[in-house]
Amino acid sequence: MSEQEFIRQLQEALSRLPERERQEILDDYREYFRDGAEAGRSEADIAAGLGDPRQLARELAARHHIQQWESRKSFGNLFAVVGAIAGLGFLNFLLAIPFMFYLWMLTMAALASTGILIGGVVVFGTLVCNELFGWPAIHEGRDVRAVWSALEEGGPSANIHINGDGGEKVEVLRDASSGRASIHILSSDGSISLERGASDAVGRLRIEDDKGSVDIDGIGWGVSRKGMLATGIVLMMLGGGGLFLCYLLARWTWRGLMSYGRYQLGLLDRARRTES
Amino acid sequence: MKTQLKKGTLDMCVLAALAAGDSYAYELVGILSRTMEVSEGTMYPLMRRLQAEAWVSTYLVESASGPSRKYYTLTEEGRRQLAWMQREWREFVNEVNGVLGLAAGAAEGESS
Repeated sequence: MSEQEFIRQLQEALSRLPERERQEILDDYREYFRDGAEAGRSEADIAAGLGDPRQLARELAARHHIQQWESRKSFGNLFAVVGAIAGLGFLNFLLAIPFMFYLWMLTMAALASTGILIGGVVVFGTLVCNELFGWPAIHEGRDVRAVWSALEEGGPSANIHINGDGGEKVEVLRDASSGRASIHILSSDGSISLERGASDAVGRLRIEDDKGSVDIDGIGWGVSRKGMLATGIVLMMLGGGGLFLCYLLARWTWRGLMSYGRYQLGLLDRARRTES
Repeated sequence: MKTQLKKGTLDMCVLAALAAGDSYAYELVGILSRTMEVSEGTMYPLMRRLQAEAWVSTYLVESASGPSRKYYTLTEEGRRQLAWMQREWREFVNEVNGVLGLAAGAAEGESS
């Protein structure tokens, strides 16, 4: 093999490495060829001594990716390591496909957990911030409740009926014994009714016209602080637990993977020495 | 056995060669192959590994003829590592020699 061919194959096989690193390796090999030529050796002889450039490249790439991963542990770098180890041999390649899938699932799980955790922190944080600084406002359904309490406390005891000329009606009805109250707006086209259920928090909204109706049975009037607190804590626990689990899995995975990668590189080293 | 032994000791030999003076890849192969069997293909990945371990560092030397050449030099860390490896090596060789000495003595005793 000529120097040019050796360098070409090496360059091709190193294409996934960063440009600077690749150039450095290629320069080093060019230097080696130069020194060999100065010593009076032929290009073919030097190339034969150096071995298969593609195999060399795979080994250098695998080492590079493992190093990258050790200096910065990101999922991207982990994928690169798996890819590089897969490049070392066919069996590794077959193993890498289910492993990539597993890594992908792990990534997704980590992202989902992060999302849940952030949700929990936002809910909890909003509540704490509101307690401490009164901001941001939490709508506990005060407006709706205010209407009901106005009705109950300050309003006239009798029901209210307002009738329009064309048969339109606005009614406010109260039933003192059950505590139920409702507001109805009726016209020839349809109706809107808002009913307060027996409990403070639940109500019913019904909108009707000649084409159909919407009936929402059970409206929470805004949010409750207790509910927010519980939701926030549960979300944070779920998200945090999920993330921690992902972290443990990732740790075990990368430890196993690094040992496997080093073992594979060791095999390569040994194979090359036996050849020589 | 011999290849296995060599794998572990090659690092030490390269560090020892560099302790005697800074050198470049081609020269290093030459120095080592004067006394031991070394594959040229092994040397470069090995040098990169030693660099990654921070046992050696490199610098470029401009040459009058043609492009610059990369020299390898031992770092402080590399010197410490070499000293440790040499100590380990001596202990190991002494232990093995001890056993071999006994075995050789027994064999001689048998034949005489």
